[in-house]
Amino acid sequence: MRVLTTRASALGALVLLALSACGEPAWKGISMDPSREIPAFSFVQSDGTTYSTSPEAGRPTFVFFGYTHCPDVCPITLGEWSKAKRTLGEDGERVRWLFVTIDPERDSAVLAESYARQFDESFIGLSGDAETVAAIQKAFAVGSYQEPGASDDDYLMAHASQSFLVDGTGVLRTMYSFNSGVDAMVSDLQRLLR
Amino acid sequence: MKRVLQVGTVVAITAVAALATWPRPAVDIRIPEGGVAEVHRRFWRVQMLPETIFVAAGGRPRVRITNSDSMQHRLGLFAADAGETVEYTLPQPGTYTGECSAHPTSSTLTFVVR
Repeated sequence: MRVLTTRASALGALVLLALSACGEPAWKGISMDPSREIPAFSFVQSDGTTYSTSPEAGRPTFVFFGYTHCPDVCPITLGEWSKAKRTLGEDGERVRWLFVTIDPERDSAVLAESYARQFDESFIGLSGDAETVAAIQKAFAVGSYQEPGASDDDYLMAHASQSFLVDGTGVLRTMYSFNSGVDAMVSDLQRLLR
Repeated sequence: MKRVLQVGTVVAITAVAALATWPRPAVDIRIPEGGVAEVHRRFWRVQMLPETIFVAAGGRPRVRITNSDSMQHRLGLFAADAGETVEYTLPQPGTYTGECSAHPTSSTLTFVVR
């Protein structure tokens, strides 16, 4: 009987260990629990049309908040996106790559669009009124503020540096810290595009 | 009596195994009303939020943020809405820095996973 008791205890412990190891495959980026649902936002583009960030089934969305005068983080991040898209090949066209300016005072829609397109023709640059920009930043829980510069229009912006991956249902799945490479992005995108 | 003892032994061993293997966050940050965050350590130790938090990289370390304040807070790359508890899972060693809205003395917070 003692042997049976010991075996039963060991089995119980093993079952607990196995249960704790179960679950869906891990994301390569930074994941969060519970996941965050991102509402849709609308931006007026330079040609007067409206671009909505509302989710599209089967099309994950990458989002980054930056500004066109950024000397470091933004060009490096969009450069990484470009590399990730090339790595994905044709699948990269199914991803929406959104660059949202956090400096709408200086970044007009046309400027944001042309800036994003420098890195890839399919990248979408978005600028909006201050309220819309603030609302989408709050949805992603990112902040930004102006740092004093040499003149009124010569300033830097302190801003969040991570990229966000939203799935085709509008749920924020993972994020990627600045300069963390493209492998994790590509792997997670391939998982969503399957 | 012997039977009761045996069952009790099984229950006790299972409980210890559950306690030992139950997933815990590597870092437990709580933001009370007023918005100044605290780090809760094992054995009920509470520490003021430092500027840098070191996280052991074993497995996939998790950072739990419990926000009992009335506004959204950002802690480095992480955030929690008012009244929300969120767990972030860090996939790889590295340095994660960002703005902090719940720090008593600093405007940034860095997590170093090593």
